[in-house]
Amino acid sequence: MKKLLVILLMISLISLPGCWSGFEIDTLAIIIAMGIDKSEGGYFLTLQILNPSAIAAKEPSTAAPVVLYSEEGKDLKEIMRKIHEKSGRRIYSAHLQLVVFSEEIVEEGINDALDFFARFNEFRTDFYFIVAKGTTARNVLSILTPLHQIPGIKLHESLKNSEQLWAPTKSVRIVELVNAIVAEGKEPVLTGVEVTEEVANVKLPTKSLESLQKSEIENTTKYFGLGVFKEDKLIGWLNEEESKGYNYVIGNVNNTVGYINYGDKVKITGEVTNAKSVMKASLEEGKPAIDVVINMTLNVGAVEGEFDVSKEENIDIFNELAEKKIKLMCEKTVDKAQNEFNADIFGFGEVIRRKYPKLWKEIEDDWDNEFPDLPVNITVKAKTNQLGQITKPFFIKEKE
Amino acid sequence: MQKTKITNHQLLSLTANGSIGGSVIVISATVASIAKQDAWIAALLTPVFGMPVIWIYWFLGSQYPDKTFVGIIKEIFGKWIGFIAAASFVFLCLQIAYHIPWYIGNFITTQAMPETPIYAINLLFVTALVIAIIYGIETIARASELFIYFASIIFFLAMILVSPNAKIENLQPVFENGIMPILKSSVFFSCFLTLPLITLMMIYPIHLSNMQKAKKSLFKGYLWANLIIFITTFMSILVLGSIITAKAQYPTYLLATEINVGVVFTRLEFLIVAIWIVTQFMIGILFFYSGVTGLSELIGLKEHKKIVVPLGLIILVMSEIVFPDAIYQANWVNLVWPPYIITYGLILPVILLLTFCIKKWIFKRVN
Repeated sequence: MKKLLVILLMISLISLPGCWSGFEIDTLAIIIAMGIDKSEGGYFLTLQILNPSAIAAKEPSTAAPVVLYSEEGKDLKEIMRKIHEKSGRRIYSAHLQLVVFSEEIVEEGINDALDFFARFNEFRTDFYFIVAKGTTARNVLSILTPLHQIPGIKLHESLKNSEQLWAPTKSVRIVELVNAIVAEGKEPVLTGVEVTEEVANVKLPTKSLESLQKSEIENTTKYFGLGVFKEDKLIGWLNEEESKGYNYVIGNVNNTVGYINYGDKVKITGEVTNAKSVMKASLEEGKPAIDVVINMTLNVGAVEGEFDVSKEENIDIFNELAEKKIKLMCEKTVDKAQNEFNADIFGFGEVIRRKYPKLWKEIEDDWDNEFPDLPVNITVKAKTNQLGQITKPFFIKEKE
Repeated sequence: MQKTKITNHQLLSLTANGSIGGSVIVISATVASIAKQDAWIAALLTPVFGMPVIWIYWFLGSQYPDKTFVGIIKEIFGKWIGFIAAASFVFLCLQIAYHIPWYIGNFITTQAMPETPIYAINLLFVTALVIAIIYGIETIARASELFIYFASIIFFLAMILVSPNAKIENLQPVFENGIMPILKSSVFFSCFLTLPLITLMMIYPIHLSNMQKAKKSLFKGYLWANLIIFITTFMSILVLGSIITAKAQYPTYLLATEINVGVVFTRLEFLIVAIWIVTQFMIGILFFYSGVTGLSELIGLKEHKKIVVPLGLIILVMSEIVFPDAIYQANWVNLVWPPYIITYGLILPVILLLTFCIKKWIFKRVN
């Protein structure tokens, strides 16, 4: 009996460690980012694959940290398999960070592509979708950047950071994107990325050969603002200011910075530390209306000119000016969404559906015509908490 | 003969495990496709219908504390009708016993290891089933006691970690489509949560040491399972929204992929899988054990352990060919399973109860 047990245990040693579908890490090609461009009659897919020997080496390596493989075809899954002809390693996509669509693709609609991303079991749900503006997705993925070795991770991180610290971008993952597309009273947005020329290095003193080489104009990737969708199709862009307004309205601002002018000489910078918005639907003579209340807290970031921020009445002025500025910013965005795009990116329709389900059933089919005339009242309440490390500005003349 | 006995707490854990096992990872999809964002209300309603059913199970058992369910059926219905009814119940148990490895195999091959043959996965699972039943009911009960702690702790951990992604808007508007879809999906909940517990009847009266507290442990275990299933449904809708929940193959698993707290707590979806496999194992044991002991009692074997291995082999073979594909399985679960389990989990006990009462009444009149 004991011998039998030993034999059984030995057999289970072979089967239990789960090596059946196992793949060693040195046989995998780990995808960090995917770019989807349009080609004649199909897709042009670019995979950004990690080059482990360049990343893992202790010495700084001269090899590029990532490799791009592209292939053309009619079907995304088919193309991904076809790339095995080139890659030499098994493509593994559970570490995907980012999917870049080109503008041509999103203008035609992304529903078909999204099904693939939701169905394939190797994809998780934690990667972001962005749109390449004015360039191809391949071009976006091909640009190497100095601070982050891997461009895909750089794009992922800077999207996250710029959303949290600067506010005009929005990280959209598949669950949110699909929900926004299928919801009747809501349209999705995706952040745009563009390739810009970075000119900062030009003015470096040319003392060494190395800096000479580096002082050429380099390209870099940069987020631009939000792309407005109608269902699954891109119809236009919000600029940086309007994108910020969008995030204020939906309450997606964590932290950002803005300045206001007071008179001709005074400029005060405010740091928004928290901004929350509440959207409420109400009825005005049987017609729906939306009230948006934005509550934000500010810190004084900098003061230029003679303005004593330590005085209470001055802080009230500052709050009032900040409220006005944010209100104007939001109203501009709402106006653009209503009149230029006629796309309910804020989800006002969903707000109405939640409060008045019966009314929504009546206006649901006609929402495209109703939305531009929807009254939207925006109220901003600002409160300044902190002055920073100093109280009164240094260069203010004391009145004796 | 000395009967093996289990404690009340073990009965509680068996009830909870059996109830969670069949439903934790898939049920919210079916329910959300009917009741949309109100599915969580259906989950709250389920115990309202479930408690009377559990009460019937308890009552039948308490009247025959030294009989199994097969014995009870035979006692109440008489020799011939009883034999047919009991035989068809045993058939149900054995049939579902080979459905359960199919789910495990299907899940592992679609989500984790697509190249592995299903038999290789099912072999491990069925081997564990067979070993468990050869060890006997006491071991099973102790294991289930451990499993319920493991499953509950991990489950609540996962749900706390996923809660930052919750959006309260996904729940509104409440009662958008009226009460009917909620009731309808409540029926589905019952078919996966409540009615499979009929298999407990092969264990509960005969092996229980303390009959006084049996009712309490059955109800407690059942309510605990209900709480867990309510939370999965509630969180799935909160995080994923009702549309994605309804269309996901394994919504709770998808829910766990959304866990993203800091740098440390990511990629935890296999926590949910661990819970599911463990509880699925328990419901597999319940069905298989009921089938094996029921069959041996029907054909008059003294020792049920002799037929475990051959039946295990049948289960292993059947576990892959029972459903030709996932589409067939989805239809089977939606169309065949509810009437099937309602027949055995609800109608059969109710008829038993009625017959029992009528018989008792007649005996009283005669005496």
